[in-house]
Amino acid sequence: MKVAKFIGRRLANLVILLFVLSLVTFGLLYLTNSDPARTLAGAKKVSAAQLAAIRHQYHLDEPLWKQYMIWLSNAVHGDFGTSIRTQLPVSQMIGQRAWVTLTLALLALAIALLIGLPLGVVAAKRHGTWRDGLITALAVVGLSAPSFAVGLLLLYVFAVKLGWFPVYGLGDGSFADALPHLLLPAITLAVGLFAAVIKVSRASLLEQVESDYTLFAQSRGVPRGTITRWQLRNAALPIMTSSGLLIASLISGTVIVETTFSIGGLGTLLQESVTFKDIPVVQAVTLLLATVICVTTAIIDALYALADPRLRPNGGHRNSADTPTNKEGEA
Amino acid sequence: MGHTHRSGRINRSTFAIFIAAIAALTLTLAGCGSNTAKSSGDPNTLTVAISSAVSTLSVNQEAGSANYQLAALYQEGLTGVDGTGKVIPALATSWKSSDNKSWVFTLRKNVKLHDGSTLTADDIVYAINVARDSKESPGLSVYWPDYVQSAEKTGDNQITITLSSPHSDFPIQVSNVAGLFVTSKKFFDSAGSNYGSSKKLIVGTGPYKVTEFDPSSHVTLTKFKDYWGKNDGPQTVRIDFVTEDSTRQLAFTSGKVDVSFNVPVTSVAQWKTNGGSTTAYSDRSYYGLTFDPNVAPFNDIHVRKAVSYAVDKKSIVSGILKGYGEVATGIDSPEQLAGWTGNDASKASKQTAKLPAISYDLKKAKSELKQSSKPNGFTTTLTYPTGYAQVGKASLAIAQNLKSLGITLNVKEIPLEQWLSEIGNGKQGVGWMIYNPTTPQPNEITSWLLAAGGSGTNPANWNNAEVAAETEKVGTLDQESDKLALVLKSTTTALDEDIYSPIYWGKSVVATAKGVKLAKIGTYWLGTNWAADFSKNA
Repeated sequence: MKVAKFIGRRLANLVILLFVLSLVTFGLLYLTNSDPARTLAGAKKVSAAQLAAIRHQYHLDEPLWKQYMIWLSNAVHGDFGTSIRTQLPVSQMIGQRAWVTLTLALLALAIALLIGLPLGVVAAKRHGTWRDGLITALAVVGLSAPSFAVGLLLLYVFAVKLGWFPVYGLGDGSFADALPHLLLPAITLAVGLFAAVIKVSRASLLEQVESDYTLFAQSRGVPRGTITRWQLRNAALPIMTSSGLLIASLISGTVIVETTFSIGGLGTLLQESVTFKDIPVVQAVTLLLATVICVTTAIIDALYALADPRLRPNGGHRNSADTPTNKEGEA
Repeated sequence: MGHTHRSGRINRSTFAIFIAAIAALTLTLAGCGSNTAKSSGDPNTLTVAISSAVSTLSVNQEAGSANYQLAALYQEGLTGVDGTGKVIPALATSWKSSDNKSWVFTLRKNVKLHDGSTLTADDIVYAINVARDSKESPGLSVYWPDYVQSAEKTGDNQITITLSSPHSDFPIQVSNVAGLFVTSKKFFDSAGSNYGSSKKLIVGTGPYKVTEFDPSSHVTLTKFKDYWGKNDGPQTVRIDFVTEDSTRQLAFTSGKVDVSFNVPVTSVAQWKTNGGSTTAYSDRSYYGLTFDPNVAPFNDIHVRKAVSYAVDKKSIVSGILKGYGEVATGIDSPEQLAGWTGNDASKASKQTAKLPAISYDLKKAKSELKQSSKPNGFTTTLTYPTGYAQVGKASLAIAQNLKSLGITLNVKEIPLEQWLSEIGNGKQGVGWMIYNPTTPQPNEITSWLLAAGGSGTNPANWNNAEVAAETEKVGTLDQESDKLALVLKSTTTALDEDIYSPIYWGKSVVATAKGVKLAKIGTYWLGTNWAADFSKNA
């Protein structure tokens, strides 16, 4: 029951969020100073009648609310419309590119966690030593290095000089060939991320390392492995929360990385569509990304319960209506 | 609080093992990469990197210059061009008109389409009607002016296109550098909105056939064995979309691509490392300032002239463009106007040199400003589009010169799309005009810039009845020398009134890797089977 309630509430939240987001995106795009009809025609001689015909075709001559209503009524029926720029169905354009961005993001997240977590643990456990200093310095560099610069540097060193990676693109179009092509971009994307992972995991584990229970356990001679397990479990919540937040920065990061490595994913599609004022594509991509972020945070919230028994629906506070689960659920 | 720390099991050796593990992982991943990293050593495959991605293969939908460049290899019109811009037969073997209104095209026989079918007159008529339709062809329909009345099949191998007013240059409009890309009617209908997409690709009659298209990455073409003409080009051509200049440069210098188009003119030297070479050619583009005479203070000719005199065109060409450009003395470039001088640009150049374009003179600029309504200067904004770094630098150079006159020019970079929408919006007194002609129509640029019918008819919103009538008349004249004279006359008026202040005519640079040869190319080569101009040593 509680699970159903949790899912139901999250779904309702999602729908409201998507509605508001679509409204805001629509309004913001409307305010931008460009005319898709003019952009389609280019800088050349076009008669007013021809421009009007193009505007009419895409309902650009209708008032804002009407344009939005047309879009909304189609969208709720699952039709995200046709791209103004390419005249292709929006779902098809997204379908062609979504896997690229998804693979890129997952690879980057995996690399970031795989490298960031252990380093963060080492830094916290050995804090104050040269290893901690080195890792923290690495994290500062990673956090402050702009990804386009990191991308070019990695490209130059690993793809051009050493020839270990392909320089650009996606290869012959198959997934097997795309994977190696996506590695260097994923590492670029992971540089900023793993730095964040190090910082968060170090900070939250450090709190545990310095806590009274650690001191007590150590003085009682509890095995080191057991203490570390306790510490990790207690440090898990902030790390999980921040991993959720990483998804958002991961997605915004793909725009730059995809451009640097000439990979046509959702990031570049969104960027091109925003500048073109290709409203149907921008709306669909924004909503898709928002959904991904919402669903991931919901999953992470649900995972809290696994990590912390106190937060389980049937956990420690069975009779209390005001359990931490509810709070987390509404957060 | 470092002192509370206890020595633990994660000691130096564990840390070292961890670092080693990461290094091993990186190497493994890298290993995956190098196994599949493509080499461009195959002599039968030409790999070309271009700076923009196309989202569809159909020029009907998206008519940017990259779309035209690609389509030149796989689709044709009734007419075509050679490297000098001369209109030559393509799917029509000949054409004639007695009144410049009714144009009869005799079709080439036994032309095969990429889907194996034989081209019919119906296919062509259908393609024309699709191209004219603004719904089906939002990108291409702008090339089909209101004066085109109908296109009909008037025989098995004959099509007649009827115009409402005489236009002697009309055959250019039905070429694949302007408004016509013939496909099979059957294929077009069955593909629907997938025409030109990665799913259905595209069907044409051109020397190459598209075998693969990924809008996020590349197009692959192979030689069409049933092509009606000759094709000496490489067996396979792969065109990669590498939008980021620095990435494209890395791809080129590291030997991953054979050819790169769109080498930024500001950094040509860096592309010549590793034995690569570069070729520059006039691309007929026009770069200049447009003044809207309805917007204060540019409604004052002295203000316009003050600004024009302050533009040091020579320094812009030599300093910013490093010589990859030519100081513009008129609007249509000599290479463009050459269509009326027997495709000899030097002849046209002699004529454009005589045009009264203003040359850099700060003294004159100051005296013009003194006579104006703003003798002490003013503040205004000049925007330039993203992706045109050289225009940004030129804008800053102009701003620097204007500063000495007391004019503050705020230079602002804006997205290309926004820049396009703001052209001629009647709000900006001064703006850049960047025009890359696609067609060989000799007055393609001035047919718009000098359509002086007031608001909305030209980017300056200029109103001059005489010039408007002259521009209208050009297309109806028979003699090429008369057309040239008339266009130059109207251009003179525009320059005298200082509505347009030409700065330079652009050049494009192509980089070719060691072992790749580029034949002598003309200014229109990208409208021809350009892949055949490259040859690759084994």
